[in-house]
Parts: sequence; C-alpha cells; structure tokens
Amino acid sequence: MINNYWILIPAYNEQKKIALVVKELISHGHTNILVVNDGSKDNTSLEAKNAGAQVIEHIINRGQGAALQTGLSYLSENKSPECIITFDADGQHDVTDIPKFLNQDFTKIDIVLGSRFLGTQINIPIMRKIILKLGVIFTNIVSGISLTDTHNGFRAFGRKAYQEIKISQRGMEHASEIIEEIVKKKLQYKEIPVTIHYSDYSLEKGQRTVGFIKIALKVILRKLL
Amino acid sequence: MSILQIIILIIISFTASRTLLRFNDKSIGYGEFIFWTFIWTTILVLAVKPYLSDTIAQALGVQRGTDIMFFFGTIVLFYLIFRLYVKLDSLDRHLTELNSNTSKAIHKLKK
Repeated sequence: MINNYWILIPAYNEQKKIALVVKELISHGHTNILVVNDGSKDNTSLEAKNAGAQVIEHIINRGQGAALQTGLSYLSENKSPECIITFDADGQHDVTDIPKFLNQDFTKIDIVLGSRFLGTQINIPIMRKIILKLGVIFTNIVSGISLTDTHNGFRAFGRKAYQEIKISQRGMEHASEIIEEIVKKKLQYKEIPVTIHYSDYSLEKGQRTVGFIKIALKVILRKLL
Repeated sequence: MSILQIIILIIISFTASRTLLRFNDKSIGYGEFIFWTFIWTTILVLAVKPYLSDTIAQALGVQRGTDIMFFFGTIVLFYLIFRLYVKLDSLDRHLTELNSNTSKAIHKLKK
C-alpha cells in the first residue's frame, strides 16, 4: 500500500462542506490534503485551513480543470508523491474508497479511474444517470477508449500520469480531456468501483443538463479547431 | 457623388488612418497592415465605382455585384470571427496559466 500520497481537492464556494470533508479525510488517516480554492466568494479557504488542509488560493475563479492543474503541478514540483488522489469538495466521494486506490500497483498502472457504474450510486436521480451515460458514450467515441464512467472526479494519478497529463480545459470539460490525454500519452489505466453519494447539496452544486450539453459542444469545437 | 458615398469615404478614411497609426506604433505587423489596407481599399473602390462590382461578378459567373459583395463579405466576417475565437482562447489559456503560477508562488512565499 502506498504511503507517500496526497489528496487534492478543487473547491469553489464550498464553505458548508469543505471542513467536514477535510476532517473526515484526516480522521481516516489521510493527512496530506491540498485544497485549491478556486477564487471562492465565501469562507472556503478559512474553513479548509482550520480543518487541517493546506490551501492554494486562485486569485480569480478559473474552473475545476484549472484548479486541478494548479494542484497537480504544485504537488509535482514540490512534493513528488507516488500518487495524487483527486477528491470532490462537496462530500459526494466516499473516504472508505481511498484504500482501493492506494492498493493499486503504480509501477504498472499510471492512472486509476473511479467508476460509479462499476460501484454504487446512492440517490442518483434518473435524469443525471441518463446524462452521465450519454456522456460516457460521447467521450468514448471522441477519445476512442472504452470506459464505464468518464466524468468521475475520483481518480488517482501515478507519478507518470501527473507529470505527463496537462489539463488545458479549465472548466468541467477537463474530464474528457484527461481521457484523451490517457490515450494520447499511452498511459496505463484501470477503472475501479467507487461509491458516489448524491445529496440535495451535491446535486445543487453539480452540473445541470445544459452544462453537459455545453461540455459536449466545447469538446467538439476543440476537436475541430 | 451621393451622400452615402461621401459617408462611406469619411468612415473608410478614418479607419484606414487608424490602421496606419497602429502599424506605425507597431501594434500590428506587416501581414495585418496589408490585410486591412486591402479590405479598406476594396470597399473604397467599390463605393466610388459601384459598377466595378458588377464587372467582377460577371467575370466570376455571378449576375449581380451585390451578390458577390455579400458572398465575400460573409467569408471575411467568418474568417475574422475565427481569428477572434483563436485569439480569445489563447488569452484565456494564458490568464489561467498566470493565475495558476501566481497562486503557487504566493503559496510558497507564505510557507
């Protein structure tokens, strides 16, 4: 099991949940936590710091993809851990899934992708499930890869993956870009089952249907230009 | 010369002078200067001698000069929108990179 790892949490206006998420991670022994506060207008930063996380502050809001890239490059340049696990700030991810990522052999696998469709989705609305499934089909066609879940933020980047993957899409379309980078850089990947807890809060914070259409359009536009 | 032609002449003279000024202060390069000068000159010539558009149209197998002007106008507009999109995208990426690098540097200084 890997000991030298960091948990990376991109956060935007998450003052209600971030402290709970950080404290839960620490209570399970995951003490290396980096929160990238993506220009929040609330007290996300203070809450995360008080809960025990290190915090990098984006001066302005640039989106989840940008926050992830900041965190990945910072940890790569300064900590060089064996793996970096990306974790959502809204409490959707299950802390008890983390050991599943840490038990992977990162000498053979470059990136481990969490899949809610191999695992469990608690309280997932049917519309969200349909949209996510369509997103999977779309991303698989665009990237030429076969995955069961393409827009899940629960991932573990091994050293080769976090050094080679460059996220240039600053918004939510970064999820499709990561899959494309895996293909382009010929990285070894593996999907493992994870549990996603949907709550009123996480659904309120998450993507709307229109958001998914926007992501698809941006991915198509990027492919064309 | 009609009032419309005079108005077009004034507008073109003004925009052409701005292009020259921007070229002189090196805000735009040779390529852009030539491109814009060509655009303004074409509009100027067609405004003063509108029948020329009919001659060009007929040479290209189109009946009316207005059709050919509309056609080329649309192409130029699409091209300019494309260039703007590319430029905006590049600016957006640079802003994200600048934001990220500044954030990391400030975090290191605070530690």
